[in-house]
Amino acid sequence: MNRRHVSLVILVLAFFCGCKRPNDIVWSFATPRPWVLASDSEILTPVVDGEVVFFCGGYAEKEGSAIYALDAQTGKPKWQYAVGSCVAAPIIASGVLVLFASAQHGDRIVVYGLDKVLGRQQWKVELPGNPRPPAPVLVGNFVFFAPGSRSVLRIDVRDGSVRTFDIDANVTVEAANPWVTGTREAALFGYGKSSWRSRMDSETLESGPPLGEPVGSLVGLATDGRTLLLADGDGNLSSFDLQKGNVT
Amino acid sequence: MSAPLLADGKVFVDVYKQKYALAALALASGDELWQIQQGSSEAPYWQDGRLYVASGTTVLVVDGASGKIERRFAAPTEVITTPIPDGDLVLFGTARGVLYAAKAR
Repeated sequence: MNRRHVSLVILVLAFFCGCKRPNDIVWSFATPRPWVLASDSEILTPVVDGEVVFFCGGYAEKEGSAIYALDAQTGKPKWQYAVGSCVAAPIIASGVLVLFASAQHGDRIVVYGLDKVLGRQQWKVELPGNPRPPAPVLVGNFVFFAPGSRSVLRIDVRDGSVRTFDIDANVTVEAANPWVTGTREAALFGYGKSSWRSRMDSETLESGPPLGEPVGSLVGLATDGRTLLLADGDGNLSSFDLQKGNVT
Repeated sequence: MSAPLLADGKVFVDVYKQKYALAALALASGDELWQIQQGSSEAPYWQDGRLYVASGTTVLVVDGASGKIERRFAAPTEVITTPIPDGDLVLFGTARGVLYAAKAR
C-alpha cells in the first residue's frame, strides 16, 4: 500500500468516526463502540444535577449501554454502571438516580436505583417488557410508569417499593399504553377517554375528567396542571382543560 | 411530531411534513405564532425565554418569542438528544454515542 492509499484510508476513517471537532466544542465523551463502521449507538438526553451530568448511552445492539456520571465542566468520568439498553433519561430525587433500562432486547424492563454520588446500586425492580414504553414521570419522591395496558406503577425512589394502580378505562379506541404525566402535587394518567389523578400524599386514585376524544398512538404529552396537551402519531395535537375535560 | 413543550403561554412542537419544522402555537387559541424549517423528533428544551433545538447535525438556540435563530452549533454527526443548557455550556448527544459540551455563548 503506497502513501496515497494510506492517506485515503485515514480520510475515510476520519469521515466515518466523526473525528472532525468543531471549534465550539469544549469537551466530548465517547461511549464504547465495537468498531468504527458499526451502526448507530443510542444516547438519551442528559440530565444535569449540580456539577455532574448524567446520561444513558452506548452500543445498544450488543446491549452495551451504561449510565455515565461526568464532571459537567470537564467531561471527566466519575462513575459508570452497565445497564444493557436505555429506555428513558435518568431521573434524580432524594440522592437517588433512577434509570429505566431494558434487558434481553426488550423482553424485560429493569429499573435501577443508584446512589447518584458513587453509582452503587441501592435497589432494582424488574418489570414485564414493553415494546413502546412511555416516559416515566417524577412527582415528589415517586416515579410513575405505565408498564402496559390497564395499570400504572408508582415506584418510591428511596427504597424501590412498588405500588400498582389498576385502572378500568372507558376505551373506545385501543391505545398503546396509558399515558402518565405529572405536576408538582399529583400524577395524572389516562387511557382511552378516562383519566385519573394520584396525589402525592394519597394511596388512592381520584377519577379525573373524561377526555373529549380518545387518544390512540401517543407520541408525547405536556401539562401545566390546568391544560393537558397530547400529541399522537397521526400528527394531531389536542389540548384538554383538566378541570372540565373539554377540548380547548 | 415531537412531544409538545409548554412554556410562557405557548406550545412548541416539532412537526414533520417531508422535513422537520419547529412551530410555536398560542396555548389559549392554538394559533400559530411562528415556524422555522428546522427541528427533529426530539422535543426542544426551554430556559430563560430561549429554546434549545436539535436539527440534523446542528444545535440551535432560538428566541422563544420571535422564532429568530440566535446561535447555531455544528456537531460532527447527527444530534439525537434534546440539547440541555448548563451555565456556559450546551450538552447534546450524537448518533455515534458521543456526548458533547459546546460553548453556549
